[in-house]
Amino acid sequence: MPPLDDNLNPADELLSAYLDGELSDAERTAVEKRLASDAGARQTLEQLRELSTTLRDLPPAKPNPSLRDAVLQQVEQDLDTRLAVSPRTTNDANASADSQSAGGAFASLPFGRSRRGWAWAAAAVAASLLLVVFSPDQPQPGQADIDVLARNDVEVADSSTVNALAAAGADAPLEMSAASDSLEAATTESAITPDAPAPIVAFTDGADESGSRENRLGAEYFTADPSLLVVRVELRNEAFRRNHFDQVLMTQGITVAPSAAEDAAPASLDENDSQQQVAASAPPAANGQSTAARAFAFATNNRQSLGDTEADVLVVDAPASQFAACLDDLKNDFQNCNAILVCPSGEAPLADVRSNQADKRSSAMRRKAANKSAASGDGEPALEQWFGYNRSGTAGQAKAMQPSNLAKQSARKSGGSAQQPARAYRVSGSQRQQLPRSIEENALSGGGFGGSGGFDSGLESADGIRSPVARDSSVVSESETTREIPPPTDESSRVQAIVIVEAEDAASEP
Amino acid sequence: MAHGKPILQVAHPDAATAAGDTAGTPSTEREIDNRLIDAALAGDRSAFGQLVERHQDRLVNALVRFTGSPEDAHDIAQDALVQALTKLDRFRRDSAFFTWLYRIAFNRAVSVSRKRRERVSLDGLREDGGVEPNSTGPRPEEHTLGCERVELVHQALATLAEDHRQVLVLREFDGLDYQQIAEIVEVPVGTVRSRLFRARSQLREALEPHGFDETNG
Repeated sequence: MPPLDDNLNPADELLSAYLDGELSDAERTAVEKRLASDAGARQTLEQLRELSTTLRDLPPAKPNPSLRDAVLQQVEQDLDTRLAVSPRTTNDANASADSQSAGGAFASLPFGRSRRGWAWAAAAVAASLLLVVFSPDQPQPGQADIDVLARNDVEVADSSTVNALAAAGADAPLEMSAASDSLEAATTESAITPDAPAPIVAFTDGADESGSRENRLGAEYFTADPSLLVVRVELRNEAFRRNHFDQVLMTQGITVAPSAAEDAAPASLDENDSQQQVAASAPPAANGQSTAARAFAFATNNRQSLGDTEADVLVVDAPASQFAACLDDLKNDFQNCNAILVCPSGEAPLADVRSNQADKRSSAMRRKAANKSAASGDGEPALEQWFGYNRSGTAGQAKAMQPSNLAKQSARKSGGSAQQPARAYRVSGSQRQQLPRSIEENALSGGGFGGSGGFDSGLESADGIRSPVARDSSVVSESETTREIPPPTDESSRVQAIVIVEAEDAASEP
Repeated sequence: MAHGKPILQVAHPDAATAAGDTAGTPSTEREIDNRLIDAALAGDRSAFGQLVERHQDRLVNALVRFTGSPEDAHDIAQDALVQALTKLDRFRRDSAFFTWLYRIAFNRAVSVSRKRRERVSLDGLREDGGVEPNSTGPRPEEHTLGCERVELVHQALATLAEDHRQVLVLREFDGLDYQQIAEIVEVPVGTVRSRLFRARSQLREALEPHGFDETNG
């Protein structure tokens, strides 16, 4: 029997789609014209119709009666397990006291896991900032930097709260507008007053004022430190396994400390602080501790809250241009990166930094932003090109994937920004094995869109399996990596970021 | 002409109805799911059960067609439902819950299928490309589902490439439209159309020797 494809008439594909009512008007007209004059086409159509009838007439397979109970039992066990292994790191008794007894099914879920939560964190940010920064109970200097807050349900947050925030914001120690104007503003303006340090990161919690937890998914975080970003990067599974984010950092000259060992922690981290106390007792920036150190302490103490249990968490301390170039590289890298979510200080995640328009927080706008052309190799990457970028489910953009994007990463390494000091500190996540491979081979490996069925990149995640041996490659050659730690420079042009790197997950929504 | 249908009929008469039950279109169905999800997230665990009940039948049916094995289908369906329900906080609602659930399930199903295939010796396959049971084919218990006809169809389905079989199952057994399939499979709509045509053509050839094409044969 000859190969099937040899027997296929490409024009018959239209018949198949015609049968399904999936043709455009022009195509349908053409098909009907053909059917009127071509007996063979009519026969083929009828055969296809018969086949469909045959398939659809099969008796349906019924699920076992026990399936529902088995699912529910396992769900209960999973949620209970999470409850048992997800202790909160908080010094706010009000927010944590009833976590065990809360009625919410997701009372046990770690904070910050929901990307959907990012989107509606806007009101949460407003309400929480109000509570964190301006309430009488706000922590005083020397007290906790981390607050877990009772939060009104976002969807019922009234406008008076927001208005109150806006009014209070006029005199606030936080430059709320800095981040909303641009990343550069956020990274260059010192907005924390020496006497009133803001919490480096604040949690919002899903509890309403009465203490009940109607929706635990309000558990998100945001930064109230203008110089700190929280960045969530979702890599394709293979890219995650081979530490692609590390490679991107190194490509841009940002050295990655290998582990969360003490010697890898940012300078000025208080050595006397126990791991449990670091965040709570960390001095404010004005008292000498760097933002990076506080970010590291926070990330260490709140590891479980920041992302998936297998996520990598890093603190990046680097010149803003270098870190922006990293994100821009990822933004251009369709093959390895699914999404980049950036939460600048005090600003709702997923907002457009430049325009700060709330309506741009929709996924449609994020995808629209994703369609913008890639930044050129010279100059600063345009913020809107990577901010809130999410290419998940936009397979049609595969055409934008070019090997040149990967090559450009290497080319950019030789730029001036790579000469500036930069370092990343690994809070958690293992350094997985990497196998060298050429840029071209990597670019053409087809692990991304279009390729061989759309499942190649998601199989392992579906099973929760991570191969100890990376099957793909690094785009960084040995010569491009550097372990040399550059000397500190002016903090004003730098950015500090808590980066949560997660693998593409089978649970990700298309 | 089968069933007396006009030759120019555009689509299956039941296509709209079938699609109407799916994730995709009817806002009411989607709204019901969203309300249940809200309830589940708020702590109403009975909502979990309702979500399962709403989707388990179609999910299992599709997975049985895809895997050819009721046992595998149930395992995969259970895993997918558990994963979806325990990660509801990750569901952004950009698409329907059912689309999301299917994506999880079929990712798992393809993974299982490929792993199983890797363990199968190709020696057992007939060189003529005809239907040959293999490990992805129906198990003995398949006979409890129906007649020989069902088994033959499943055997024929097992000869299709996974990506082709998946698209065919989603279209023919679930009545999903191309856009919905594209969202689940994560390929462009044009790819769905192409795969579906190839899957149908190959399946027709595989079934033809068994008298499934009597009216035209």
